Amino acid sequence: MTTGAAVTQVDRSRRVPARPWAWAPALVLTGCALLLVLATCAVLAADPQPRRQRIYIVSSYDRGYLWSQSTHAGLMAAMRRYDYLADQAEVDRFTQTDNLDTARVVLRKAWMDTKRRNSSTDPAETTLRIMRDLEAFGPDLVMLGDDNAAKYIGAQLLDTEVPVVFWGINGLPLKYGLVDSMDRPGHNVTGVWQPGYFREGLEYLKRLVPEARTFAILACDSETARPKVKQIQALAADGRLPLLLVETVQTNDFETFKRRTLDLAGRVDAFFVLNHDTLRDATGSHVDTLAVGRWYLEQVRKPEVSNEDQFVREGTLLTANNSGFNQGFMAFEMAYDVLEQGLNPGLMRTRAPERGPLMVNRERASMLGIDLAPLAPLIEEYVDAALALRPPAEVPGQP
Amino acid sequence: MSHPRNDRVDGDRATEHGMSGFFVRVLAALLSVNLITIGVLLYHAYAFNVGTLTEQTEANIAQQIGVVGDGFEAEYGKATASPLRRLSASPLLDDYLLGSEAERLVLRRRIEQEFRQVVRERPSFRALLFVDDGGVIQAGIIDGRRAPTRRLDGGGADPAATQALTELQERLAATPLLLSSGNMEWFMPPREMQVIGPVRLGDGRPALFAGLARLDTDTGRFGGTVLAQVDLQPWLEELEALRFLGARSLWLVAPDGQAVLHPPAGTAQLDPRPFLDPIPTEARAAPAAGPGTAGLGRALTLHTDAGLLAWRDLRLDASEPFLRLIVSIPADLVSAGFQPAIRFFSAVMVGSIALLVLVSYFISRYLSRPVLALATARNRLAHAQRIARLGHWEWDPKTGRVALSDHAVEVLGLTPEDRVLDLDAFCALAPEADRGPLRELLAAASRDGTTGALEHPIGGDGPQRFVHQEVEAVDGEHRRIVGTVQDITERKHAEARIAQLAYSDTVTGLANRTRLIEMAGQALVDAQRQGHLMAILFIDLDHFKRVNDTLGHEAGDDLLRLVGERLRTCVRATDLVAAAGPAPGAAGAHAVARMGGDEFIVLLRGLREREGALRVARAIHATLTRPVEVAGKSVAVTGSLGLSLYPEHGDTVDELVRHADAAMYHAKSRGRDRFELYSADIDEAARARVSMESRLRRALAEREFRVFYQPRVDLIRCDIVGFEALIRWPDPIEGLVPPDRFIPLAEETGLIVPIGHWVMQTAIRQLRAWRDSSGVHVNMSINLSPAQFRDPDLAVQVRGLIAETRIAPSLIELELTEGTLFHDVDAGVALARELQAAGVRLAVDDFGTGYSSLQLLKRFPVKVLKVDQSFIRDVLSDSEDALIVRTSVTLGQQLGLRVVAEGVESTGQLEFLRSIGCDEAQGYLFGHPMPEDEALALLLSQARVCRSLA
Repeated sequence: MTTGAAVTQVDRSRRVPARPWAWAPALVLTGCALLLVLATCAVLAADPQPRRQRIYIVSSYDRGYLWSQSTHAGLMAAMRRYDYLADQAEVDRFTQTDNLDTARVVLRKAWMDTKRRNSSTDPAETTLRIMRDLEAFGPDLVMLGDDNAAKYIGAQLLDTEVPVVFWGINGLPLKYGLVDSMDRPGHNVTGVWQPGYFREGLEYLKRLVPEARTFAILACDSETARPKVKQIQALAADGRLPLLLVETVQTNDFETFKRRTLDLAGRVDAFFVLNHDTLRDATGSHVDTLAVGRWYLEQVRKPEVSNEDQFVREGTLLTANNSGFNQGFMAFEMAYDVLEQGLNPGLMRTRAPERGPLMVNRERASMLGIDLAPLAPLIEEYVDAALALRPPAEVPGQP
Repeated sequence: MSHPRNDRVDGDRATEHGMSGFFVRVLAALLSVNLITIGVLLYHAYAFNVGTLTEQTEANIAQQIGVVGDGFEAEYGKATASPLRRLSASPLLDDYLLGSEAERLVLRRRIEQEFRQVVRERPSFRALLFVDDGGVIQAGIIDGRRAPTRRLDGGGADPAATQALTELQERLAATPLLLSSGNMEWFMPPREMQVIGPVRLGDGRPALFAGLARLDTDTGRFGGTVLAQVDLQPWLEELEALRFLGARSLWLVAPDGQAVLHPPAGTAQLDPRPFLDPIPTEARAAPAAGPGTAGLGRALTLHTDAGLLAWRDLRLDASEPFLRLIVSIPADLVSAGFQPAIRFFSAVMVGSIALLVLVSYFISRYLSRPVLALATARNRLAHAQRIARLGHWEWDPKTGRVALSDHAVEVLGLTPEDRVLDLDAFCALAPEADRGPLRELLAAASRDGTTGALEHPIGGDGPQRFVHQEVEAVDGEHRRIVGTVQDITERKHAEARIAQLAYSDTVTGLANRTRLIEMAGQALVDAQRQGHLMAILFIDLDHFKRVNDTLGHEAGDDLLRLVGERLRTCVRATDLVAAAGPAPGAAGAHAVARMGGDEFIVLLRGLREREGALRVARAIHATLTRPVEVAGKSVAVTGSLGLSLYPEHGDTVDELVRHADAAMYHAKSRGRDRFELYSADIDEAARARVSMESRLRRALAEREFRVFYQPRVDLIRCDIVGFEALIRWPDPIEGLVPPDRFIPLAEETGLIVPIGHWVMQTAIRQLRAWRDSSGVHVNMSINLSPAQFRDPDLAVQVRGLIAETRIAPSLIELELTEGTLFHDVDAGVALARELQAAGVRLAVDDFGTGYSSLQLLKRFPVKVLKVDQSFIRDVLSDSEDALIVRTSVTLGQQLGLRVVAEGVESTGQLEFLRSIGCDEAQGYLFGHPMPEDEALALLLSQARVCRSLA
C-alpha cells in the first residue's frame, strides 16, 4: 500500500505545469471578469433618477361633491406618501387647478359631473371631451373615480396600452366588463371597489337607539344608489340586519321623495339614507344634494344611518364608513405598483379597502336628543357640524 | 404407298406422342406438389390475415365510437357551453335586473334578440331562457317564440322539461360563485356548465338541459341562470353510424352505472332487441378512460358467443365523464369482417387449381398434336388477300403472256375471260402517262432481276380507281416475273381528304392555320428575295360569344362564314389579287385564313409601302362594322385588328403572327372595335399580361393567395357579428398585388372560378377552425364573381363545404353584385333559391351603384343589402348621398332585409348610420382586412369595436 501511494504522488507531480507563467492568461481573464461584475453592481446600486410619470385622473362627479373630496384626499395622501407630491403646496395647487407639472409627476384631473349633468346625451358628450383631452395628454396611467368614469371612460381604454386603475365601483367590479375575474382581471384594468358596510352601520344605530325596530331606505334612482339598495334588500331578505326593512323610497322626483319620506317618518323607527344627489324638482331642475339634506334634517326627526362619511358631514347621524379616503389611497397604491414596480394590471387582484372610521355627527345627535355615551368607546371620528344646515358660502367646494 | 414426306411426318408423330406422355406424367407430379404447397401457403396467409383483420376491426370500432363521442362532446360540450357562458356574462342582463320598468321593456327585447341569434346559430337549442334568482323566467326563446314571463316551475307545456329545468335551476343556485378569503380578498371559482339529462320529453324526443349560473354583480350573490334545452335527437341519429359496425346494443349509462337512455327507443330504425339486454358489467364498471379515448373489451356475461364491447366516456364542460356510451358487437358480426378474407383465400385456392389443370391441358394438347396444316395457312392467305383486295399475276417473258389470279382479275376490273393477257393489253390497263413507266419496270425486272413498284389509276370511263403494283423477278429454269396488284382507291381518297382537312377550315372554307403558316413562310422568302414588304393582319371579332349564346352555334357558324366572305371580298376590293385555300395558283396572292374560334388572319404580300397594309386594315375594319343578317336577324358585329409588318416588326412568321396578335389584344384592351399597328410598347404590355396570367396560375396552384377578414359590426348590439372574406395576393415578385389588378385578368381568363372556390373553401373552413379553437360563431360574407354564379356546380360546392365543416349554413353569406344577378335572371333565381334551400344567405353587394331594381329584390331571395361605400364616404357632406343611404336603409327595413353600410371610416359616419337605424356597418373604423389570427383576437376582445361605438 505504501508503495502504491508513493507512485500516485509521483504521477500527480508530473501533471503540474512546469511553466508558472502559463497561469497568466487565466488570471488576467478572472481579473477582468471581477472588474466587470463590480462595475455592474455599482451601476445597479446607484440611485436612479425616478421617471417622470404622467397620470390622468377622471372623477365621475364634481368638485363640490363630498365623496369626491374624500377620495381626492386619499389620493393626495397616497401621492405624498409615495413621494409623488413633495409638499402640501403641490397638493393645494393640484386641487385648485386640476393640473400639476413637477419634476416627478405630471397630473391632470377631469370631472364628468354626472350627478348634475345626467341627461341621455350628457355622458357621451362628456366622454368624448375627456377622451380628446386624455389622448392629447398622453398618460402613462389613468385613474378612474367611481362608477360613471369606469363605465364610460373605462370602456374606451379597455385593452389599450394604457394601464387603468379605478376606485369606487359600487358592487362588484365585474359589472362593466372591465375585469374578467375578481382575482385575475385579465385586461389592462384593475382597481378598488366598494363592498359597503350596511349591517355594521345599522348595528351601531341599534346600540344608540335600542328601541328602534324598523327602518326604511331613502335613495335617489341613480347608478350609484341602485346597487346599494339592492345590497341592503338582499341582506334584509337573508335576515342579517338588526332592524326590519319596511319600505324603500327610490325616486328622482323630489316631491315624491318628500311626500313618501314624511309618510314613512310616522311609520318607521329609523332611516337608512343613501345617495340623494340626482333628485329633480317639479320644473325638472337638479336639486343640490345639500338642499335635499337640509330639507331632510329640518323635517325629519328620526335617527338615521348612512354608508359614507360624506353624508355624516352633510348631517346624518352616523356611518360605518365606506371610506372614500381609503378608496383613493388604495387605488393610488395599486397605480404605484403598476408604474414603479412594473406589475401587470391584468394579473393584479381587485381590492376592497377595510371599513373606515365609525363617524358620528354631534349636531344631528343633539337635534335628535340622542346620548352618544353608549357608543363613545367605539366612535372613531366626530363631525361637529352639519354642512347641509350651513349657508352655501361656508361649504368647501360650493359656488 | 406412302409418300416419303408423309412417312417422316408419322414417325415424328409417334415420337411426339411418346414425349407428350412423359410430359403429362411429369406435369401430374408437379401439379400434386404445387397443390400441396399452395394449400400450406394459403393456410398460413389466412391465419395471418385473420389476426390482422381482428385488430383492424377493433381499431375501426374504437375509431367509430370515438367519432360519435367526439361529435357529442363538440355539440353538447364546448359548443353549448360557449354561448351560455357568453350570454350569462352579458352586461345586458345586469342592466335588465337593475333597470327601471321602462328600461326593462326595452332591454328584454334586446336580450331576446341576442338569444334568438344564438338559437339561430345553434338550431339544437329548443329553448334558451334567462331566469332570475327567484326562479322567474325574465326573457327567452322557446321553440322559436318569446318565452312568457312566469315561474320556471309552473305552467310549462312539458312536465318533464319543467322538472328538469327546475332541478337545474336549484342545482345552479347552490353553486358557489364568489368566495371571500376573509381579508377583503375575493375569488371566483371556475364556472362549469351544469347538465341534466338525457330526459325524454312528452313528444318522445330526448333532450339535455344545460345551464350556467350568473353572478349578480351588485350583490355578489347568485343572480339567476341562463338555461338551455338542447335537442339530443340529432346526435342519436348519428348513432346510426354504429349500426354499420353491426352494433347490436347501445346504452347511455350515467356515472352511477344506471342506464339513462336506450337510443333505439328514440330511433325506431334501430333494432329493438337492446331492451332485453342488461348492461354488460365489463363495460359499466371499467375505469374511466382518458378524454377522447375509447375502451375495448370482451363481453363475458352478455353474449354466449363472447362478442366485443366498446365504450367511450362522454365529457361535457367538466373533466369528469357525464355519460358512458357502450356498444356491443356480437362475435358473429365481428367475425363477419373476416368472411371476405375467407372467401378471398378460397377463391384463390380454387382458381389456382383450375389454372394448373388448364395449363396442363393446353400443354399436353400442344405436345400431342402436329403443327398446323399447310392447307389452313393457304386458306388463310387467300382470305387475307381477299380482304386486302390483293391479287397476283405472273409474266413469262418467253411466251409474253401475263396470267392473272382471280383476285387480280377482280382488282383490275376485268372479266374471268381476261385471266390471261398479252403484255401490251396488261400495260394498256394503266393510263397513257403511266404505261411507259410500267413497261420499263417490267423490262428492268426481266433484264436485271430488280424489284420495283408503281401506283397508277385505272378505270377508264367509270369512277377512277387506283392500284399499287409490286414487281419481282423469280429465277428458276428461266426467269419469270411475278407481281401483285392491290386496290388502293380508298387509301388514295383518304389521303386526298386528309390533305383537304389539313389545309382548310371546315366552317368557312378558308385556309386554316397550317396553310396560312406555310403560305406566310413562302411569302416571307419571296419578300426577302424581292425586297418587298409583307403584313400580317390579325382580326378577332368582338363579343362573338354573345352571338353563340343568344342565337345558337349554327348562327355563329353562319356569321363566321359571312365574315370570311367579307374579308375575301374586301381583300379583292383593295385591288389586290385575293386567294385562299390550298389552290396552287394562289401561291403569290394575298390570303385570308381562319385561325380558330373567331380569329382570322389576312396575309398581305408584295407590298411596296406600309401605307398599303394600313389601307387594307382600315378597309377591313370599316367593312366589319356593317351589320350582317344571321338567323333572320340583323347582327352588328365589330372586330379588333392588329397589324405587324415585315421587316419592321420581325423577320419570322412566328414573330410576325405573335406581334399582330399582341397588337390585336392591345386594340381589345383599348375598348375593342379598333385597329392597332404593332409597337414595342404593345409587346411589353402583352408580355406583362402573359406574365401576370402565368403567375396567377402558379399562385393558384401553389396556394399563394391569402384570405383576409374585415369585421362587420352590429350597430345595436355593439359587437362584431361577422367578417367579410377578402382575397390578398402576396406575389413573390411584386409584393402585395391589389385585387383590382389581378381580379379583372382572372375574370377574363376564367381563373376567377377556381380562385373564388378556393376563397369560399378557405373562409368556411376558417369558420370551423374558429369554432373549434375558441367556440365563436360569427357570420362569414364571401364575394361571388359573375362567373362563379353562373357555375352550375356552385350549389353542390357550397353544400359540400357545409357538410364537410358542419358549419351552420346560416352563418354563410354569399355576396353578389346587382350586375351578376341581372346577367341571366331566370337561371340566377333558380340558383339563388337552391342556395337558399341549402340555408345560405344571399346579399346584394354595392347596392345603389347598379340597377337598384326593386324587381330584382322581389324576385331574388336576398336577405342583406350592402350599401356601397361611395355613398358612405361623403354622407356627412353630400345631401344626395345622405338621402340615398337613408332611402336604402328604409327600403331594407320595409322589405325585412338587414342593411349593411360599407366603408365606414369616421365616428361621424357611424353616428349618422345609427341615427337612421342602419343594422350593421363595415369599414376601417372597425378594422382593416386582417389575417385570421388578428381577426380572431379582435373578435374575442371586441376592444376596438367598443371604442368606436361608444
